[in-house]
Amino acid sequence: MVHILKNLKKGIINENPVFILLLGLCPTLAVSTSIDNAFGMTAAVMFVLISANIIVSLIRGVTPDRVRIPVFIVIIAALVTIVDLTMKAFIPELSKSLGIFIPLIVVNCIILGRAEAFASKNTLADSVADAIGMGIGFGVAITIISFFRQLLGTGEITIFGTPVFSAPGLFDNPMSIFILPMGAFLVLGCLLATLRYTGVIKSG
Amino acid sequence: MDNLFSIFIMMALVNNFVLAKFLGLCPFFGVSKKLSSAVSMGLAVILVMLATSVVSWLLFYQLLVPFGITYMRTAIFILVIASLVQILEITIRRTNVNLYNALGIYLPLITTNCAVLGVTFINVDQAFNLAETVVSALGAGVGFTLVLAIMSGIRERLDLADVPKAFKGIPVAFLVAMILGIAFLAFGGMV
Amino acid sequence: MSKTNFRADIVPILFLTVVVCVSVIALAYVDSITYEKIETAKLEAFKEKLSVHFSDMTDFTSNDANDCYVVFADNIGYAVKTIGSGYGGTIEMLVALEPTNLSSTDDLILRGLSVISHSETPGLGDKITQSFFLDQFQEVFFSGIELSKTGGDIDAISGATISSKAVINGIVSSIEERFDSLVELVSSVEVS
Repeated sequence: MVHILKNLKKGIINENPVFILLLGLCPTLAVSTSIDNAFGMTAAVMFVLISANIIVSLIRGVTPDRVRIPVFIVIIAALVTIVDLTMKAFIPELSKSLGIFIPLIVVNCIILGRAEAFASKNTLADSVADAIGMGIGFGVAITIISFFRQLLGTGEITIFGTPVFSAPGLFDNPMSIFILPMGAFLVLGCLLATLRYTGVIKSG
Repeated sequence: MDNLFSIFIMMALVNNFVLAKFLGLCPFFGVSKKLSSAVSMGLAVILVMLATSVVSWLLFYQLLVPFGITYMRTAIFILVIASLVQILEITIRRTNVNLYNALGIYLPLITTNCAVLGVTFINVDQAFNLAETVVSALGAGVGFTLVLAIMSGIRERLDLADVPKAFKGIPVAFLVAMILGIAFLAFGGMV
Repeated sequence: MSKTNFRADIVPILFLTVVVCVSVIALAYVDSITYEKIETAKLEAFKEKLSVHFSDMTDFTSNDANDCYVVFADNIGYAVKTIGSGYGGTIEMLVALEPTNLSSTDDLILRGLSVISHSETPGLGDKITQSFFLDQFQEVFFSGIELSKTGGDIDAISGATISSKAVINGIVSSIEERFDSLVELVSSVEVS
């Protein structure tokens, strides 16, 4: 039990996929233009991550070593396609917002990385905990980035479409750079520096 | 997108894969510390993009569309990429050992490069014909290599500069990427 | 000796094949249950876009290529799907037209414009979906569809000239291309 909790916690803090391992950057930066997008992306990634870890862990005893990467890829691709189709059918708005980054989850280094590095070598329970932890860590990272980008770039925060908070000065004169691609680099760079400065993560 | 030249410029500069579309970021920050490795990675990516774009385009229109199974495209495209990267690796290892040593470890990494998968999706989403697909893959690859080369040149210098401790390494690289991105915005006026 | 080597080679391939088959079956199943819903969702979204310009729309009919429409509503009208090459890719739009006498494109009067899909830059080019830009296309002559700085009726979005121009060029070229189709569709509807 203790090490299940440990696996859960490490994904969020010590080995946060985005801030520490620097994996899965592409969707994190591209999709973090609004909190809604962040939630949607996190949900999709978590589903694939947990399912993939479960399957890979279950078959780890019988998977021949030589074909393990192609096998993982096929499993992940199938899961991603399922998520893609399901989203297009039931939440088309979000699907359009997230665009090609849903199918691109298949090359999200977080998922293949965890399958290869962890799930293929650990028990089912540990693998699930690892996946949930990593998923939450990813979610936390992308939500924080989206928060800053949306607030500074559009002046307000919307959750599920409805404005929840509106910064008086910013709303009329938002700093558009934050909502543009380069704003993502800026926010992440400063966040990483801040985390290092405050000692949450180590430098160098 | 009427003519091939404008597609090339659009993919390479205006909608640069790394700076505007956020594709190919992992190698961008991981590989770009030395100019030579950046260029090697870039060349490998161009090769892979060209090969996979053509093959996936053919498969899409000859196989997936006629049979109505376009939902298989994610799986098929990534498998094409994984296979072609393997084949490329084996071929290079057998024919040109020097090149293999230079590119070596980067080749398998290309499989998970979002830029490669991304360009295959863009080709079919924009309904390019074969010629346009080739040009688009070339443009995407060249744009990627260009940015990677610029970034590595800057980072080589940055390593010697006096960067505040908290920013040293990755954070300042992000800030550089931001500035590069702003600079590349200017290309918007070209098309 | 050759038997064990053969085994060692064939088992991994078999395993991979099994995994592939299972995945394909799973995908085919999911596709079969979502296909209808996806198509319906697309149709609903399209109907909504159309009804923005035609109050109390009851029905519509399209040509085979699905890019020209005759809309039956309190005020009948036509619509044409148009495509433009934008900054980030293709911009798909829907142009609603007044039921004018269709002897040439010069007679066309636009009723309104909706953007169906685009890949323009968020915060800049994506302002083409906002009403301050789109409203300019209401009750305008086709001949006036041009940027105001070159003598037309449409003001470009500041900072997003390329996207604005793409919209305009897309409308003009697509309508000219599809005009004959529209005329054919309209006359076939009037006959029946």
